[in-house]
Amino acid sequence: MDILEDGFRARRQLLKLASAMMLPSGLVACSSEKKSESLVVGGLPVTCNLTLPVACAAKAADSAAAKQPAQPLGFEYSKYSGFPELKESLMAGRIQAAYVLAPMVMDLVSSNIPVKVVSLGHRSGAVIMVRTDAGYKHFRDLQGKRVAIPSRFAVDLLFLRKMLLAEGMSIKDVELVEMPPPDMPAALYAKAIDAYCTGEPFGAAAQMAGYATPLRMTRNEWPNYICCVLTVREDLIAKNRQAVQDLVNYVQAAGTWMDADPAHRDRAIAIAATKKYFNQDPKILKFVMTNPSDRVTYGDLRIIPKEFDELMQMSLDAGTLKKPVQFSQYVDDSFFKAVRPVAITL
Amino acid sequence: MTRSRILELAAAALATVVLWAMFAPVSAGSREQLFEIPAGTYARRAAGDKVEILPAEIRLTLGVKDVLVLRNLDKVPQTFGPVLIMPGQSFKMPFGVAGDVQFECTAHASGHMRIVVDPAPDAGWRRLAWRARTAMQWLNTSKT
Repeated sequence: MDILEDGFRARRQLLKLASAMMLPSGLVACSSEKKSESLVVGGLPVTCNLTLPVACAAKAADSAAAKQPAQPLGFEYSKYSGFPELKESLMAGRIQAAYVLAPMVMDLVSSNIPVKVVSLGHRSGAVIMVRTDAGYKHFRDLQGKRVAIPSRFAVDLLFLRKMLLAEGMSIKDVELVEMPPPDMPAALYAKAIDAYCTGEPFGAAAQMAGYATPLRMTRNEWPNYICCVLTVREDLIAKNRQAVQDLVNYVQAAGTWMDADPAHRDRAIAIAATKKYFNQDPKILKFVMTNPSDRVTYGDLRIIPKEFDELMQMSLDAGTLKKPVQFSQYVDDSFFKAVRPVAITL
Repeated sequence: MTRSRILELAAAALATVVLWAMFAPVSAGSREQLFEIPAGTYARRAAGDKVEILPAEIRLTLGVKDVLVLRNLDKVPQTFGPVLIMPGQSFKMPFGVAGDVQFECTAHASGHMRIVVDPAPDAGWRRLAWRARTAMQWLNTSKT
């Protein structure tokens, strides 16, 4: 019986295939014309970027409720596995907008790449992890020890430098090791390194497993820490200012919404964990977002020139930036100043 | 027996095989596809050995083999996506939608694992194609 039913299904499939093949090409062209255009925004599947899937989903929900194509443009999330690829896409103009590391934007602008920061995406979210059984409480305990960082150009390094400086130490007092963040928990477990400094969820994952503990977290030490910022190409600003403003409106609203109620964070996790966005285990995202709840914050996405100047100076001191860049060269805060409230209905 | 008779019989046999491959129900004992990360993986990678332990691309099929199981036999945790699989632990990820996804995976020299989830092999051409691919995979595996 199953075989007979399967046979009929197969025949239907063949008929469908034959009809599809017979479709005039003009009809196919018409259907693609109806497809609405979207503003593709690149990002990494990390909790620092969580306002992006929320903004995309909120915009899509609003368009669906209005039963009309998104105006002026819908937002489409494009997942990248690393900052180098993301930076390359933005430089080449394959994408017009992305969540990029703030010092990376400064570096791009100093190399005459026409991009501008238009909004913050989060604050805080980095950790320095050590083994639980090591008993380290201070950076003095890490004198001469091996500390892993994602790269010498990562903002995490600035966090490490700041923490060392606070205890009268310098980067020369530790041995820096560069490694991809996913490798760090295993390296710490194997005692190949003594500490690692990176963004979540790689700290939370090891803490959840029980063998690592945070030595310092940006939430305590540097609560206004800026890592990923919404950056757009200047040609997009010139061509479609309204779309950039709309994106900034939604990102800012997503941040406020996520910090307004723990239930909103749960909803944000459920959205971000789906295949369309991060494609991650929601349990881990939930852990990162709740241990403690302000490990990463989204509510204060103000653009404050003094903070960017400080970050620029730290990048210069660290050697990750070769020459000073003025705030107005790499930030366009007019969109932030003109933000209009958007109701997030997710 | 004439030559044409032999050809007729061969054609009939081929048609029977094709029909069977197109319509015979697919049966799979367990829907889990197990991959093991052997002991010493981390040590080999730390020593600069780029040898791939797991396939760079894993193919799953909805309704047949659609639950990925990773077992960590190594002496250190391995990261799969944002999940840390502790030594001796297994991690199961059931897939419910066909697609092509990439995960960070420390058991790979590239640091990435690609998982292609094929749609369920419905009766007809899709099931025939699935059986042909499975047979090819089996042949390739037996050769090595």
